Amino acid sequence: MSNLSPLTPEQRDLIHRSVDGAVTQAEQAELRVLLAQHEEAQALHADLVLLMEEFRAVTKRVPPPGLRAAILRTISHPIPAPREEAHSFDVATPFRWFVRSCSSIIHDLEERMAKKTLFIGTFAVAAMAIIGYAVGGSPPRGLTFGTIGAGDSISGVERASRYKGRSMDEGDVSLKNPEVQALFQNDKILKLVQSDAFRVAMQSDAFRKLQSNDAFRKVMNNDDFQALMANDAFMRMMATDASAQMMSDAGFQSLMAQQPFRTAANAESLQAFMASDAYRQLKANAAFSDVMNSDAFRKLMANDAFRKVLSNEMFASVMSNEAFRMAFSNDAFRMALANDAFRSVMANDAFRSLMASDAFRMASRSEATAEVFRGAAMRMVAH
Amino acid sequence: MHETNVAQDMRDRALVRGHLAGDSSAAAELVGHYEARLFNVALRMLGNVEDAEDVTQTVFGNAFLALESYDPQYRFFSWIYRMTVNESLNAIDRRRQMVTLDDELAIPVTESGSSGALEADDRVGKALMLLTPNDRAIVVLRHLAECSYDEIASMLNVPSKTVKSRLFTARERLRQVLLSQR
Repeated sequence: MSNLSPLTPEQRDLIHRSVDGAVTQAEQAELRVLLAQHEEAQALHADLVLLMEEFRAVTKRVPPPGLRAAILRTISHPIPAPREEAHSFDVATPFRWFVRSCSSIIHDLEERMAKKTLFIGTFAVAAMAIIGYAVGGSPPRGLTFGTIGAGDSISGVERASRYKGRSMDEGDVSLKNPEVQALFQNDKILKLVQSDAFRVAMQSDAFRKLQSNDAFRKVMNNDDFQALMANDAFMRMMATDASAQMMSDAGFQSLMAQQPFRTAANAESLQAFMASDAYRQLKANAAFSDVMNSDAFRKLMANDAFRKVLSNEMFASVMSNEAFRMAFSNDAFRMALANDAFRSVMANDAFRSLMASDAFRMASRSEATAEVFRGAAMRMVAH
Repeated sequence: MHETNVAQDMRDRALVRGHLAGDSSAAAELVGHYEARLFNVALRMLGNVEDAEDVTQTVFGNAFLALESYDPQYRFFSWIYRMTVNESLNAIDRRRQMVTLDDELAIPVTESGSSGALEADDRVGKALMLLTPNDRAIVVLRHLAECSYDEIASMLNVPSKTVKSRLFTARERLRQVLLSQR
């Protein structure tokens, strides 16, 4: 005889606990009776058993390659990212969205190469700006960790304040640091800083706008980006003549200023770009082909750090940013990129060492320490 | 099972002590034990690989910074799982507060965040995203991290009775969602 009365809360609780294996023998007996008599109980029990099977069928995902290394780097160099600020910015995500929305048409190597090439130019600008920070300015940075506590989301959960990291101060980075010393003692870097092309570029409105641009500053402070800047394969490629030629090439510059590339908003815009004169010119450009065919480029494409930066949302937002486009369209800026001194710095061991150093990371994230760093740089340049 | 937990706790405490005493391999071993587990919890909370990766990295960074303040009378397992749930909830909150960077780019923002489509491609993963984040946390901890009622209660600092009540309600919601898909 089937019982048609609704299940009581206690009966539902019993059924749920039974599928969790959290019932006593007496409760198991009670459940058997209930299931024998109650259709709704049978249905709920059967559905929950199926649900448990679905849960058991869920496969555990393998963490992305590189995550463990990134964690261990974070642990060994606990320089906290400005999480709250980063995420308030972490918004338009044009690149990731762009890649996904365009994935159906990005099948051929030609497109992929074109897309990646864009980043090479971006890195060149960024590398230049890093040097620019040392002598001309630095992004303000707070250095407290983001919260761990979940606010009021779950009552009773501990708040984050107890986990806050301490703030960095001048004591954390000093000119006595060997990497910083090496930078200022390096004649190639001084030559670059003192070169007319570099000075003009640094003084240009376009560069100043780029430097004060939030998106750009966030990329400069991004660990993935800094890891790339410390990467030998990337630096070697940046130092090649072919890269320098390509970046100073008018066709490449025109490409950078293309609206479809800049907005990178949808598949149609990518297709429009592929059909553009600028892209056709670039394809015909010998320097572009040299870079694409170089071993250095191929190594870079296979590099984890490079791929990680490619997928970085903040970096992508710089790419689509007006200030970045303006800087790259600026004659003085392009001249500086093509400058031999700049290229030699890119290949310079001291510069690469600096990029990888904790001191530089701290300096680039703290206004106070950057002030020390900048002042010393200016004094050295003046001599 | 209980013995396994005890052994796990002893191992974790030894590794924490080792790390604080300067044993360079202890941190790597702790990360090795928990990386995949925390990543999967974050992934099921967020439905997005990149966000889960960020959360996992942040949790380890925060945990190791705060390790000196970790009280070994509590389970390391509970402590770091709690951080993972909380950091995931923070990430969900931040998504809700997202603003558009560039007016030219009107990026659609979904429940899974700025990256668009859900990445948890199984039925359960998708159904989980329909739960409230708090209920999702309990379901994830119970069924995907295989924590007991009491362990979840300890992690979330709520009574075990509350865990059960919320878990059962969430499961009935999931039941309805999954039934409607059959």
